[in-house]
Amino acid sequence: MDALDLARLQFAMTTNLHFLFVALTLGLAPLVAIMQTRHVLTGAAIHEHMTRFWGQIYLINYGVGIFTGLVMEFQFGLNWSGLSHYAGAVFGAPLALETMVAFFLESTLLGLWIFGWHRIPPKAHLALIWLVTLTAYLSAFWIMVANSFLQNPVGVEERDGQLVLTDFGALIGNPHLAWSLPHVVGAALVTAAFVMVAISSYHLFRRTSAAEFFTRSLRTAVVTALIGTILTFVSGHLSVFPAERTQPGKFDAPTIDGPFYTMLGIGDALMLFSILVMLPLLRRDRLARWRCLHPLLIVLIPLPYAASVLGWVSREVGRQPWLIYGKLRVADALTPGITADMILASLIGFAVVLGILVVLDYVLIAGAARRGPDDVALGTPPAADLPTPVAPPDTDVPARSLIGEQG
Amino acid sequence: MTVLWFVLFALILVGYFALEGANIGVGVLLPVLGRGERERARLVSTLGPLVLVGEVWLVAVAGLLFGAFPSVEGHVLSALYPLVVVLLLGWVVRDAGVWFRRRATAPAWRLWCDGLVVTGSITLAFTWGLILYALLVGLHRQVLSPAGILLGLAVTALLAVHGLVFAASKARSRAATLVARRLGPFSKIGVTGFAAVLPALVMVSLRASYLLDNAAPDGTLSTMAWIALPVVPLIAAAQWWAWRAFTRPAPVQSFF
Repeated sequence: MDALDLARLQFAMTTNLHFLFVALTLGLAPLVAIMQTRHVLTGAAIHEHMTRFWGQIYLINYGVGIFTGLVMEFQFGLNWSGLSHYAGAVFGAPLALETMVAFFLESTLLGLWIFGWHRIPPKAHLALIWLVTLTAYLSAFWIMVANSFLQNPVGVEERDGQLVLTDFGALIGNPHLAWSLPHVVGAALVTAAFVMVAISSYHLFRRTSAAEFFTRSLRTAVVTALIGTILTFVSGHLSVFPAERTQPGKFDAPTIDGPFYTMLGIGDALMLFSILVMLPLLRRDRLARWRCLHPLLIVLIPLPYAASVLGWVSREVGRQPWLIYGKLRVADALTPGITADMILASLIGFAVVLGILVVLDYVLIAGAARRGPDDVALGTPPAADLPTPVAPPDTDVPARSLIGEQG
Repeated sequence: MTVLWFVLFALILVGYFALEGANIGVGVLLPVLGRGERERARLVSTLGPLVLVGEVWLVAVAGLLFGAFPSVEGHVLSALYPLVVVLLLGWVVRDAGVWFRRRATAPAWRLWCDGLVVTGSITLAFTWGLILYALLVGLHRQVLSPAGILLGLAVTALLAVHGLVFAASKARSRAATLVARRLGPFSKIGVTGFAAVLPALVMVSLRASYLLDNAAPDGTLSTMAWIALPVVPLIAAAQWWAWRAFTRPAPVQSFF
């Protein structure tokens, strides 16, 4: 393999790994926020319990989203400096805005949410998870603005061999963005829904002690699956039209039609399964009680992930050999002077480290899922917390009140 | 407009070394400060949310560079290729240690995670020294030079002292307090913070004209300013709240 192939392989690896974690993060965030809202509104302990358990799954998953995201961000400058040079003034803008107006806030507020359990007033704490969700979706928006620009470069002019931004509105109003963003959101909801379906089914099948907990979770998950699959279906079909118009023949290319039609098949199957099987069986909690169905519900878990990867393959491989459609070829974007050895060394480094962490993270998620809601570190109530009475060195100073406790 | 983005860039870079520098320093010193599992557990759980609100400054540095100084981003990152790769690996490894430590209870697991935190933090600090040296002297030199290694060691030491004073004054580490007492005027967080940002501050001042000459066109810069600047006070408020809240003694642990 030459430098170009290796750089493409590295990008494909980190992007796909990143999206697997992003999908669950984006899908679970609003669900956790809704659970916490129900807790704040009703005061019922079950909702707090659900927030902590599903919030913990969300967070364990979130970590590898960060790790892969860091590599993603720096990879542009490492391997694809031709892109920065030619189109950085346009393509870089949404990415810069993503880090500054979305992720900067998201990460800070997420830190506060994790830290803030039992320390800041419940309503402020609830506001934090909603803001985390909002900023996560804002991130998705900016990333899709950047990606849609690569598919269909609008609002720009070429001057002296570089692209210049002439119409920011056109970048935002890109027809490739309008339906691909809801498509990504839908896919994320489907992913979270089927992860919740599988984990809930596992506990219901095993008849662990938390029957009510997982019956409720299953209900939430099925409603989410319904919304997610329909949203993905509708937005996916609508997003094909701009793609066909600006990238003619995209989905007929031999490299694409396999992944593309497999994705369609999975999407349609999951939607029909949600509408025709899972939804009707919510009546009188049949889905939760009929244990013969649960093994099937558990093994469905890879399908939304597979569909996501196939979808991205269709969208990205479909515009080859262009990095920016019609303007910049992938081969011309490669960093000048970069050697195959350099990329190979970094590829091996990232593949080994990220590979281990990805596998480890899924093992940890599975472990947390199996242990169930009785063993959750997130938001441990003060009384039940493990003893950590390390006396502060200056015990003569009275511990000052925490923010919010005294208004 | 170019000057505005340059100032913002310099501020965020300096903020990274002042805030995340302390986290990295605590990580470097974890074997010294955390004698015994209980104290290490306390330090890493204090570090957890701080890492989330600290490392994001570097994410913003890279993002801002891409949007406001795209040619610089492409040129600098690719010229420093091996160093950036090692920095990223160290960063990911440190984060993994913090993130995974409390996910299992076996002593060996926790020891491994502590090892990741220490290895990752040392890698981060030392590689930053090498990177800053390369940026100070120009990008076409050998990545490993005696002077570069010296700056690598110096940055590691500066961040370690900053982390030590941070752990003493904010994380209530008994071991750190004992050592910090002997540091005299250097036991002030303002002093160690300034020392931690100094190499980056010198570098960014010396390279100011390079950045200013290679900024994105005004159209991009002003569009970004209209969208980003209104959010800056929100970010500042959230960061201020986070750093104030996190450094209070923790009655409960959550997740980390």
